[in-house]
Amino acid sequence: MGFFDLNIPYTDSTPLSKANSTVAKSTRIKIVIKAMELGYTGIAYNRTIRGVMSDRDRCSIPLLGLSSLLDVAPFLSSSVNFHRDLLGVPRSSPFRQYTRLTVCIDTASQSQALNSGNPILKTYDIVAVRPLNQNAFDHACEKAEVDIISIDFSDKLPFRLKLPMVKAAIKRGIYFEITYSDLIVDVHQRRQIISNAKLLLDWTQGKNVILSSAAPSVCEVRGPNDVANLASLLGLSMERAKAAISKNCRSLLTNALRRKHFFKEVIRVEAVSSSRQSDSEIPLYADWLKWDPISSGEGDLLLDDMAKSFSASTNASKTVKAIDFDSIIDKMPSHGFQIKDLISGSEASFQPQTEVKSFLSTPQPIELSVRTNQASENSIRHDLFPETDDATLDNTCSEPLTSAFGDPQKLYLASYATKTSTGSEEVVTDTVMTEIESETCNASVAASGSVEAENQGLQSKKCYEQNFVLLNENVNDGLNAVMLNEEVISHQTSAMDIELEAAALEISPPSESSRLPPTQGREFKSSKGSCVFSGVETIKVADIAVDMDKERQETTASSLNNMSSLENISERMSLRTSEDDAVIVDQISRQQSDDETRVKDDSLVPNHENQVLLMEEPKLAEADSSMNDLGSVRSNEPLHETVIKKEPTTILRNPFPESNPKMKFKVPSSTLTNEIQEVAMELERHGEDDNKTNDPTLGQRISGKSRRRHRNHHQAPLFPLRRNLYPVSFKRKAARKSERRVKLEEH
Amino acid sequence: MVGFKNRYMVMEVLLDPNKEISGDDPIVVTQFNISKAIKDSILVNFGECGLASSLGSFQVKYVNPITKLCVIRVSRDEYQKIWSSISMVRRIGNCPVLFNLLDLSGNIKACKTAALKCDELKFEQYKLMVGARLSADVTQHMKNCLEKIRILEH
Repeated sequence: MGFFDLNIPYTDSTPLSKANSTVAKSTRIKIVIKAMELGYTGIAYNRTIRGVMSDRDRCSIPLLGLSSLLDVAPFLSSSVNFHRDLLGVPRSSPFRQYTRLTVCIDTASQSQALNSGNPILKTYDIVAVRPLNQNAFDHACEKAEVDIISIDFSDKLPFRLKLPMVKAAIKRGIYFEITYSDLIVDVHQRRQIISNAKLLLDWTQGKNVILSSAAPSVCEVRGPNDVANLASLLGLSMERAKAAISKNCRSLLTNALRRKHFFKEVIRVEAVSSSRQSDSEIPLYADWLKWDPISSGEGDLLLDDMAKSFSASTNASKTVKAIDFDSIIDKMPSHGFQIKDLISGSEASFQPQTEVKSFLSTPQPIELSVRTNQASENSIRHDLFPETDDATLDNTCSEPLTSAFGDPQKLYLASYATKTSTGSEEVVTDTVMTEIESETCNASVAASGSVEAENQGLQSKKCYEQNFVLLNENVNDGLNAVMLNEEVISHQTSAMDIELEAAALEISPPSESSRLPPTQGREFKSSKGSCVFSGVETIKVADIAVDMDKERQETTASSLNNMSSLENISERMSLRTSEDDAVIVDQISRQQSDDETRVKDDSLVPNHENQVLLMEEPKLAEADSSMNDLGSVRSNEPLHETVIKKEPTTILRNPFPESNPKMKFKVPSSTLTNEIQEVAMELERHGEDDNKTNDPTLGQRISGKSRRRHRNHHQAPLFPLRRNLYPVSFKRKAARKSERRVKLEEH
Repeated sequence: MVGFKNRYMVMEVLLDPNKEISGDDPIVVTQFNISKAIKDSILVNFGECGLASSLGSFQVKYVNPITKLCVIRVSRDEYQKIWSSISMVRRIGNCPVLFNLLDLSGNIKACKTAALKCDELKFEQYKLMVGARLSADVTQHMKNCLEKIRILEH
């Protein structure tokens, strides 16, 4: 676990005299060097502004490169390694730089600017607020969309800290910051800081608190252990204090970067670089393991290269930038898309972006830095595709998720978004994994993204229809449509040469049994990709005309089928068992609105009472630890606990065992109504895919329970939670034995 | 059984972090001036009583002027306070300094092993920095210091 110092002051580069700026720059370099030497693994340059933001305030902080550091301290690497070994930090973890903005807030109008729509804030990695009076503090705790609340404790506080406010802020995931350099510098300030900060620490017990220096010069920086000890003066235990400079910072960075790079905190769209991947043997999700959740894309210094002459560091990065959605969203047409826009492929280039183009007028390239020697660092991109709409559902919210297709280099898209709609719909979105291979380095970057429902946020926007519409309302013609569309889809994909697919599986209840067989055994050979989905039922209703729905239905059905066939066939399918998949599909088809779903994205779905089936993080945790990071969509608190090294995959990973039983239960009771959307379940186990070989049973998927029953008895390990399906009230051995016998017999 | 419970801290002193790397030390760290600086810091931060209660077991056991390594013994009850006072030391004499804890242990034996390891590693770094100017005196001095670590007692 690395140590972070997230407050290194940065002064504007518009000083009056040139001398000032060079002094400031050299100070900055020295501080950074000292921080590196002392064993920190990440720092953030903090720029403070006061008052109203203007366009000039966009981030212009230059990140330091390794060469500039080595100019000043040529023997940096040995010192860094020495300290890192002592602290227990791995030698090869990169040194990260972030940019941060602190806004001093006085009035209510200034506080209004701190929302997620502010484009200037988006240019910084971390956003902090410094309230100067009581109103500002209250607003910051309750409503402002910031990462950190930084209070200047060194003077008498102009406002009171109130426990309900502090609790509200913690609940929203905001961190409080305490700076320690004033303790060192000035004796009188020491008194004030200790007495002020003690109150905050008593209330929070160190939860959601980070410690950082606001070191004006290099003499005020202290090593991580020393900082933790200084916090004990303020009343924290040593363990909490150490967490305050390591774990809390890290989770703060994860959240902040997710907010920055992901549209509506869920989707990230990246352009795929154009180099081709001819080797499809590399596991699909190998790159997902390497997703680096706290990488800011640039500014990560690889310290292994220090020993060599910088040559190693130059070949690493292939940067792919996230597409900035806000600028794009505004240009999207109101009626959404139709598949034919995509299929037509009228655009000359291969870039899928151009095809999906109507809303991606100017997609910005996504920058993804790929590191050669780090196994763990790759940024992940997520792709999300917008959702279906259900015309019949009047009260549905439309949740367009824009999906962008990058150049397929090797593009595997799995996008998954779940949305909840009002009423009983469930939104299913599939996760599309995108995987990008960099030409230069062998490590391929896999992105897995799963997006959780973004109901609320998207509702406000227009609904967009993406070509892979997930939902099919009335499934009766689903199968036929599916069959038809399969060719279309395959044609389309091959034409587009895109490997990503986004699909939501739809389930048509009547056709469930018949649906799967036709798709079985079909080798869907798209050019390279295989799509992985994590299945979830989704219901997405958009306000789109019915006829458009029909079109979409077909296309989505086909895409779904493709997906399902892919899923069936692909060895990388993360399905634990094909049976489960089938079962789940079955279940989903029957699923009622009362299926439970948990919306991962808490903040986004506060008001929707719809159920969304979410892949739970706990399930993720239980899933392969190696494949923990599926997508980054959101991780809730429990997720953090379960993460060991990497961020767990997001919800999209369908927790088989958990959802299965639920669905099973619901099947008998649920009744199909027209409003029920088909839920497509694609389960994917990224981790499993990566680690396990093909599930031999995958090829034989037959829909339905019959198959499952048939195979059940010799597949016991595949249903570890079968007991949930058939709960036994008593735990007596005799009862269990007999129950087991009964179960076996019935199958 | 053991009457005095102590903590042994292995710390490195970083002299004048603002200065460019040049290889000359502004001051020579000795047991005396480090001890004085720390006591002053305890007095300022914890007052007379704080200083008095920590003075019983407080001792700077070993200092290596070449690698700037020092071993400080403090009583177990007061070690956190003394450690924070040490972190708040800003200068020794006229030279701004920075203390950084490398290792903390409860008995002299573990402390000796840690100190030996850190000392050797730091000497390697020193040799890198000094480069060709390494003289035999320094090496000899270094050997003596390592010997001193080995005969440290509680």
